[in-house]
Formats: sequence, C-alpha cells, structure tokens
Amino acid sequence: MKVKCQRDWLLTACQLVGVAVAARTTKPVLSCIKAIAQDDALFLMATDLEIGVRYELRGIEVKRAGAALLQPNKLISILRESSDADITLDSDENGTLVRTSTGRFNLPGGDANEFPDIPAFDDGGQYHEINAGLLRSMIKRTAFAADKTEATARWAVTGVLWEAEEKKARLVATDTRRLALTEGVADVHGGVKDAKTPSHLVPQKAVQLLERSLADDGELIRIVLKPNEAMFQTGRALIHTRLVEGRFPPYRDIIPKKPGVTLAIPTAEFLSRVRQAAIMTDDESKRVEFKFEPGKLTLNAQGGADHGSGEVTMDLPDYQGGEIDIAFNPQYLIDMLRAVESEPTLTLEMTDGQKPAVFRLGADYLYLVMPLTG
Amino acid sequence: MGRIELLPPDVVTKIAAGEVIERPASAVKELVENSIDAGATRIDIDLEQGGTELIRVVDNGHGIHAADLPLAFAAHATSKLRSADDLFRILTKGFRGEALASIGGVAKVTLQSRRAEEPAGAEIKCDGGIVGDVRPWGGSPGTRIEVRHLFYSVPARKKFLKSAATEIGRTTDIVEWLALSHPGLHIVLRHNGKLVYDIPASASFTDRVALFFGGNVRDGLYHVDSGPADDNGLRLQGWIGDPAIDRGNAKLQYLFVNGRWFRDRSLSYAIQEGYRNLIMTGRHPVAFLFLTVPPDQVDVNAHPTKAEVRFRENSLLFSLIRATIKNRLLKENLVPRLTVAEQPLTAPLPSPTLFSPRRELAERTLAPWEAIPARKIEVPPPDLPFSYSPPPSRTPSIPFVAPPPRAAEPPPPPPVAPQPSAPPVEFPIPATGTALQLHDAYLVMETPDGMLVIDQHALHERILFEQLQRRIRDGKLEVQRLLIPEPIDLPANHVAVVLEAKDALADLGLEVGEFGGNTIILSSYPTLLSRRPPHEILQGVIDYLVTKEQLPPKEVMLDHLLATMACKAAVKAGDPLTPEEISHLLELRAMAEDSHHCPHGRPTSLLFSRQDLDRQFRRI
Repeated sequence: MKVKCQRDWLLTACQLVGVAVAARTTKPVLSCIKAIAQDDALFLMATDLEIGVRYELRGIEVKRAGAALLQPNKLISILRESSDADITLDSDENGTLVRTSTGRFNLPGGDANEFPDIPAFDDGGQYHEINAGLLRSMIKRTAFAADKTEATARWAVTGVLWEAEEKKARLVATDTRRLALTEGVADVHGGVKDAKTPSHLVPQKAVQLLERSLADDGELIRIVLKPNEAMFQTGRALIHTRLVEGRFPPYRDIIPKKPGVTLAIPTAEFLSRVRQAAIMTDDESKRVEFKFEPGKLTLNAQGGADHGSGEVTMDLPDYQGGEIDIAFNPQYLIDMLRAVESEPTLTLEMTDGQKPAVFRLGADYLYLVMPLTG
Repeated sequence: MGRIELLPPDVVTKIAAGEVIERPASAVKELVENSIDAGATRIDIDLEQGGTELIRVVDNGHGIHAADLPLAFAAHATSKLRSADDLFRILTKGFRGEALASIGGVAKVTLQSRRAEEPAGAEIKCDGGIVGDVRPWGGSPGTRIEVRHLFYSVPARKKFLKSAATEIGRTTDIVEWLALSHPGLHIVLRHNGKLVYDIPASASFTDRVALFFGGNVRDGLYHVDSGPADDNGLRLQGWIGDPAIDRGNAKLQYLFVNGRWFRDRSLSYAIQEGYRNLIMTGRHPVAFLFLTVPPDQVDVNAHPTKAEVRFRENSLLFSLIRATIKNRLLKENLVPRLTVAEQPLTAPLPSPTLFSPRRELAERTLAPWEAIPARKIEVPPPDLPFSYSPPPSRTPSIPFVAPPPRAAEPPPPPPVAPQPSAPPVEFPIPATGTALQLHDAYLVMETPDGMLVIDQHALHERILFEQLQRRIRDGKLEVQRLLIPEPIDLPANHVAVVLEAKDALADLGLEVGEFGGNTIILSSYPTLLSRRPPHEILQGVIDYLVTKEQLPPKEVMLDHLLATMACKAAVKAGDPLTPEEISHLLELRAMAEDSHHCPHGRPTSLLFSRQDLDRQFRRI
C-alpha cells in the first residue's frame, strides 16, 4: 500500500479512529489502526471488539492499493509535529515508511489480515435519521450524566439510553444522582420497535466517538438499533458498537409530576454564580446551599474546618414564590449548565430541599438532580 | 425402666467433683485459694507428674480447728459463708464449701493443720470420700494438704487428662494469675522436685510480670488508674502494654475483679476498643487490669470454677475500661523503637542445666504466648543477657529469669501511680529537606534522640483519617440523596442486621429501607465517601456489622469507614515525593493528634535511638 494524502485530514481521521483503539489488550493487533487503500479512498479502522469504527478519506492519491497496520500513537505524533501539506505512507509486510519533506519514519507493521472485520452497515429496513447538528446537541446535553464510576450494582447506567419513537428520538443518561433526558426530531423508517424489546444502552465511549465524528451540521445521521448492537452511519464514519447489558432504571417514574414552584433562570448568570460559589467547596464534600427568596438567590459554600467559606448572590426579579432552601453538589449543576450555556433561560422546578429539582429547556430537555441533605 | 432413686452420697460427690475439679490445675486453684483465704503469706506447691500423682499445698495460714477437720470434707461445709445474704458480699475466694469435698471424693487426701496458738495440730485422711479419724499431728502452724492419685476413683476422667506437660502448664497459668493478683504473697512451685517458680514476697507486680512474661513486657507497661472510686464504687487500676508489645492472642490480658481472676469477652472487647487504631487487626494488647467493684455489684457465683462472673452494670465497666485505657495511651508518645537484631556482646547464656530436658519441654508447652507469629520488628529482651550474672553458688531465687537489676529501676508496687516513662518527647521538625526518602516509601529524619524512620503511607493515612474525623466533628455530615434508590439483595440475616441498625446508618448518611423480601433499598450516602459506589460503602458497613454481636456506636462505624477511605486516598509506598511534599507531610505530622499509628494500628514511624546507634558501633 502506498498513498499520498493531506496531512491534516489524515491527522483528524487518525485521532478520531484512535478513540476506538483498545487501551489494554492481549491481542497486539487491536492496538493498531488498519488502513486499506483502494480506488481514490483510504479506509481507517479500529476496534476493541466492543466498539468498532471505519472512517473513510476520499480524494486520496493511491499509488499502490493494499492494506497495512499502523501504530496510532506514533503516527499521530508524526503527523502533529510535521507542517507539510501532504504526507506519504508506504507500507509493505515489514512495516510502514512515513515520509515527510524533512523526515522518514519507519513504523513497525504486522499482518493486516489478522485484523478483525468491522461489520458492514446493514439497516435491515428499520432505522431512524437525525440531523447532525441536533444530534450533537442531544449528546452534549445528556452523555455527561451517564455513570462513570459503576455507582450502582443493580442498574445499567454506564451507557446512554437511546429510544426511537414516532417521529422522535430520546436520549437518557443517569448516574442515579441526576438524570438528563432529551428528545429530538427523528425521521423514523420501518416502524418503531415495540415496547417489549430491551432498551438500547449505547456505551459512553461509542457516544463520544459518534459526537466527534459529526462533521457537517446539515448531514443526516442514520441510526440502527438492534437487540445487542447499534450502528451509526455518518458522512464519513461507520460506528458499530455492542450495547451495555442490563436494565436501565424506570426513569419515567422519578420525574416529579407536580412541582412546588417554577421559576425562570438566566443560564449564563446562574452558571457563573454556581462556579463562584463552588470555589470555596473542597474535594471531599462539595456542597453549595441555595436559598431562594422572592427577588433573590443566595448561594453559600462552606468548606471544611480550614477551607473557608463563600457567599454569592444573584437577583431573581421575577421570582415571587416561597422561600426554599436546597443544597446541591455544584458540579452536578455546572455539568448541565455548560451543556446548555447557549440557551438564554432555563426553567427550574422545585418542591423542597429533600426532593429532586428539575431544570427544563422547553419540552425537549429535562435535567433532574437530587439535593444534598444532612 | 428403673424407679427414681436418690443417688448415694459418694456418687453425688463424684458428679460434683466433675464440675469443680476438672483437672489437677483446678484442684491447685481451689487449694491455693483456700490458703489465701486463710491469710497465708507463703504457699509452697509441689506437684508430681503434672499433679496427677501428687499435689501438695503447704501454707502458713491460720489453720483449722482440730474439731472442724471432719467437717472439712463434708459437702457445703465452709467457714466463709454464714447466710445466703453473705453471698452478695463475698470477699473471700471460696464460699461454697465444695472444693475439699470434691477433691476428697476423687483422690486420697491427707489434711494436716495446726493453728498458731495451739501447741499441736491434727490430721485427717479422706480416701475417695471415706473420711478417716482425726489424729494428732506435730507440724508447724498452717495447713498442709496432700492430694494423691487424683481421679483414681474416677478412671474415666483420668483418661481425659492430657500429658503431664500440659497439665503442669495449666497449673502454672493458675499460679501466675494468683501471683499477679496477690503481690506480697510468697509462692513456690515445684514440679517433680524441680523448682519452677519461686516468687518472693518482695517481688512487685512488675517484677512478677517480668518473671512470667519477660522483661520486654515489663518495660512496655504503663500504669493506669481511673482514680478514686466513682459514684458506683468502681475503680480500675493496673497496667497496660505499649502497642509495640502486642500479641497474637489475648492470653496476656488478665482481668481481676476484687483480686479474683476472671474471663469476660465483653470487657476484653473494651480493652481492644481502648486500643482502637493503635493495634492492627488480629493483634491483641497486653493488659493487667484490676477492677474494684462493690461486692454487691458482682456475682461471682455464676460459674463452678468461678472463671466467669456477672456484673450488675456491665456497660459502666465497659466504658470505664475503654476510657481509662484510651486516656492513658493519649499521654504516651507511642513511637515504636526500631531495633536491629543484635549480635550477642557476650558469650551466649549457658542453658540452665538445673533442669531436665523434660522440664524444658514442660516449660515450652506452658508458654502459649511465646508462640506468637514472628514479627518484623522483634524487641529482644534487653536485660536477659547481663542480668544472669549472680554466680550459681548464690542460689538464685528465681530460676529462669534472674531478677532485674534492682538499682536500675526500683519497680513500684502496683497501687501507687508512678509514671513509668519519661514525659512524651516532642520531635521538632527539622528544616526542609532533612528528611530523606528511601525507596519511595520511607522517610528518614534526625531527631534529638536519634533517627526516625517514617512509613509515608501509614503517616499520610493517619493524617487524612484525622482530617476526615475533624470534619465530621466540626460540621454535619453531608449526604447525597439518590435520584434512583439502589435496591440491594442481601442474605436474610444481613437484612435483619441492617434494618436493626437503620437509625445508626441514617446518622452515617446511609438511608436504608425495606424493599420486601431479602432486598433493602439504599437512598442516600455520605458525600465524603463519594469515591466509592454507595452500595460498596453499605456493603463495607454490613460486613463490619455482622461480625459484631451488638451494634457498635456510630463513631466506631464511622471511624471504620474513614480508616478505609483514608487508606485508599493516602500516598502509597512507591510514590516518589518532592522535598516540598515531604516537608508538608512532616508539618502535618506535627499537627496530628496521634501521629504514631495509622488508623489500622500499624506504626507510622520507628525511632532508632542514638543510644542504639552508639551501641551498634561499639561506642558505648
């Protein structure tokens, strides 16, 4: 295989595909990227056997068709350090010669045939399509809430729940302390799944990979959900993933039906106040106390014995409801507020300091967070 | 089936003997206690073949009236009790009047006694329950009892006896605690004609400890005293061991109530609690505790051999022991001393030829505390080599361990409250950089006394532990409620334990509820512990709870949690530290309340004293 291609394209492609490369593996071949050159295209593939990605670079000058195994870390470093416009990869069974205008790098190779196949895209007539711009924002607003620490033994919450319904798709993520839910318009083909099929939990890593491979806001992303796997076809990438096994908690049951008070919150201002208050919390116990009063919100943070304290206020001219004292881990609010920073206002619903607070953005986004007590 | 009949008296005696007289050691105990009750100041005990052939106890007590001698072997005949009310103010060792009768029922006993004011005494024989006639006897004042062929009339029981070595071991145990609880009593123990112990009346409590358990135990003792009796008439005095001389079992925990030795699991636990965070799991502190309890507050009539007693206010004693030990240990600088196995400076001790190999075998069997697992840092008995200096011609009064050099440290008698060691030494923190990191695991620094080696992980763990503790003491515990409560499946008995501890768990921020069946539901957890998943935190607490018979107090559970957490968060052995980090750690060390042991009881630092260094280099 011998190709000449644009350096920055190749760098972007390698960085994206590199996400799927197995971090720790006993199969050395899985720590490589497989490249296939044919016609005018270069395909880059990586998999850790859970998640696989195939990325397509078009408009490549293919001098000799073929396949090769590439070491992603070294290749990415070479591409990053070089300032050339074009770069040449020349592979044979011994390895790959990377040639820049000022350097030659020999990367060890391997037998490309050992590399497992990434399944081809097969929608089976049942799929849905979402606009890339919308999908990006849906992922951004939910994926952060998924569990990263295996916080629960009972529920499967390390992935993002993905549901398709009549004309819409829904993403839900929770770590059992907070929950983010978003809905977006989707073009559903071949009918929706019936209620009995198990829920589709897409691993966080696959969702991240998908988010990164979304290029043009206008393109349509095709999504296929199968009982044990999911596939995402974007303009350039195909992502295949196994699903997280297990039961997602019955999230609909925990969304409060009748809020005590409802108020509008200016997003950017609120984010800034929460971040200020969070300065005085410490690592072990993050706690900011929120006091909602007519016209005003006061945030108090008290660190440990020798960590000092802080008080931050914010005007809420429109709030005329009752006084509510509630405490949160500020990080839980900051995560969400950063994801919706571009929206001017949020709606906040609360009952008291013991019950979950609900942030809403129209009808499409909901964020539930459980307060701190004690 | 036969008819119901009253048992003949000799059968009754044999049955009763089974309860009171279990083995030669129990006979020795009963006889020596009788002697103590008789006001004896010197007791000679001779045994043959572990006591199965002969037990002879000779005392210089006030003796028995010749006329009372036949009654001595009658069951329930005693001079120590007059009415049932007396049972609640017992100050004597015995009171039931069963011992001699029981022994007489299963052995050939000769009882000879003379009251000091009488010109002559009398003797009586009892042979398997058959009491002979009283005959005059011309011995010295006191009582002399010979028990021969114990259990000859009960061959079945005789078969259950262990080897002579084991039986003599049990007897020495009894002699040890009798000697410990009666300083001032001169006790001589001989086995097969060989001297085992000769404990002079002048030997103080600590001398006796050194004699029985070695000099390093004596040197590691701190005197404790809870002060004058409180409103409940309770007082705790005694000696507790430095955590450095801990043991692999609880054998070196001696409890005495009003001078009477007893066993009590809950009070042993109180001792363990007093040492909490100072001793590693599975290790046991050394303690000799003397409780003074008003006689009406304690029932010693609860066990045939009186090895167990019942207290009216067990919980008061529990907290008294725990608090007294804890407070005492807080006063000490418990930095263990680093010791190096020394080359003997003098020729090794010639092994005492005085005793037969069999004797040595017996000695090995009778010292279970010597079977403690090998420790990394073994403190060699410091005064053994040079204290055996007296020439053999001067008959050593104590055969195994010579008396400690009297001049060096006059051992105070137990009731007085001396401070056995110098006041705690504070180590000033040297300038930055003077602590050296070794193997990315240990810090070495200079102190006025020598050289201090610090285990960086253990020290940091301790510091974090205290920081967490302080936070909880200062403020309330922050609790994160779960949006989606976590159902947890548990074995049925664990469910019961958890639900019983529901309130205590809620104090810890772990809110649990019933979910039905063997499932509980966890709906909150303390944010302090957010590094671990909530169900793991709860599981940790449950694992801890089910090992406890009763619900431990909240602070104990929290400490347990915090210790685990601190351990996970602390720097590890193998983490390289920058000089700034080292000096910060040392600063924190100076501020820590108890910087010498990590929360799991491992020492954080070891002191290698200047003196030890000098000695190793032959400067002194």
